[in-house]
Amino acid sequence: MNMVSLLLQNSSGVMSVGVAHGEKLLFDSMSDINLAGSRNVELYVKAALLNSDKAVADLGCIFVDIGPGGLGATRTTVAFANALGFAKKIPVIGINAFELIGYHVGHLEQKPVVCIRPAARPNHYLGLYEGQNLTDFSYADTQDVQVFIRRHQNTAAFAGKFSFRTDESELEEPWPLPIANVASMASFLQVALKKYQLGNWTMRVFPVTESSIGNVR
Amino acid sequence: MGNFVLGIETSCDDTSIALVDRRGNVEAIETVSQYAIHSEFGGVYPELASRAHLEAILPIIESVMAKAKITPLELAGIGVTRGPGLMGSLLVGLSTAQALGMAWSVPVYGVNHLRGHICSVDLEVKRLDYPAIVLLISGGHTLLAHMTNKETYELMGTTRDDSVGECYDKVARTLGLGMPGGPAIDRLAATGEPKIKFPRPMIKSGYEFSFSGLKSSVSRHVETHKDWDVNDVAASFVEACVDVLSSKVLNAILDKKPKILAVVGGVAASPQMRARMQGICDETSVTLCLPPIKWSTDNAGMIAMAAWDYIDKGIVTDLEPSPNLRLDQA
Ligand SMILES: [Zn+2]
Repeated sequence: MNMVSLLLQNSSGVMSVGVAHGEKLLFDSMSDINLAGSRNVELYVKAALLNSDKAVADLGCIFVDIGPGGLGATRTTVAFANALGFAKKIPVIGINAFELIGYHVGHLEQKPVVCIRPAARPNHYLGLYEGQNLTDFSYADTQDVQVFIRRHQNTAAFAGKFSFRTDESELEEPWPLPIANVASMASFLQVALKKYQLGNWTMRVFPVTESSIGNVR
Repeated sequence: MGNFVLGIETSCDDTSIALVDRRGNVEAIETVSQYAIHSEFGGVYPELASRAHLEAILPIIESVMAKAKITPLELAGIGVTRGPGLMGSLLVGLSTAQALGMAWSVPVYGVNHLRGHICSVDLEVKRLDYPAIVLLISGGHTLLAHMTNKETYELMGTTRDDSVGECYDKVARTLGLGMPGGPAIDRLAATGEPKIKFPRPMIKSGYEFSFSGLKSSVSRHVETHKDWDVNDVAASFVEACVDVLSSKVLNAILDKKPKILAVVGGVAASPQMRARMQGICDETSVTLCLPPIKWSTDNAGMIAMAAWDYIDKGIVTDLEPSPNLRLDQA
């Protein structure tokens, strides 16, 4: 892939935007102190392009994090990505947030990664990232999530966000801590490049919701 | 500068896109209703509304631009509702507008939906003259405004609880009439007798409104009377609503001495309401202005029309959603 791409990640509630040319990352908003805390996608994208010395017209593809996660934040970025792709007639490729954080934590820990984020109470989104793939993705209630965690606790690393209202002192073994809830831009770009090579590009994407995946547990 | 404004309206449960020129001519408009999605919930379900906006918005923009044969180069701006409305729904419109504006190098104007309703009066035909009293009555809003000229939007009063349209819908449910309740209630009311003395909430207290007590009174009546007649209940309810609204309008006319009374919003379709407002205007020698109902209900034409006003006045707002935006804020 030898083109300029825009990368948008927002499902954790913290926005991060990158610009890449092929395999080279030109800008990473995570390292730009001026952008910290803002929620305005346009501001991020403008800063990202400006700092990369690129214009909207240079973009060949947009990669956007489609969650699961904060639905409002995800929808904002997805709406922006879809409209930018529509206006410039370039592909918009949606990437499941668990592939992003799964890849990121898997790369750091060299283990399979259990990805968990809260869904509508009492449910959680649950995924297992191993062998560079999200092999299991669904949502489940708190009890099933806890069983899943115990089953993988000795062999996997954890990513995402979860906490349970149990008295930790009564547990034989404490709950594991997630290593990250956001992927680095370098990890995002690696996942994006792989997705792009797989083809099946789309012009519009939609956020992951419980109703779009179903409970398979 | 281009000759057209692209209007985007996603504040509640309709996705609407329009292209409007400076004089208010609507080159193309498409509105996709989410009625079928929300009807089973008996109200607008915010998560589903935002999802439906996200699915509908770009295909409608594409279709409207194709229908009008207008390219982005011909746009003077994009006008998008920034509030009041549902947070998630507003966000979809605003994000889309920002991205399009950035890609097409077109300025984006965040428009107050309430000002859009007032500007709807001038769509296709210039109808508004000043000073004017505007009564906005719909499912989302109930307010009375005074405009001494094009520049001033003075909010005289608004509802403290339900909007009048919401009250119609809730009463329709109580009477087993389904949604949308307005037309059904008005139809039954036409053949009923307004025998039941429902309360006229806040009829004597300034320009503020309240409708939740009226809705509860109707429920109580139906629960406590075995032999209630649906036509009579409808007629009595409509008369209570019309009494409250018309008494405030009459006071406003006597107080502000306007040239024009404009009635906008979906409830302006009510024949009983129209007749009473005509009566008041005849008595006080004020011109009644009732724009076509298609421009009175939520639509993107009115948002584009209001955006022209923002362009002319140089009003620049931020593009953050503002779910509780008031009429006196741009
Ligand atoms: Zn409205």
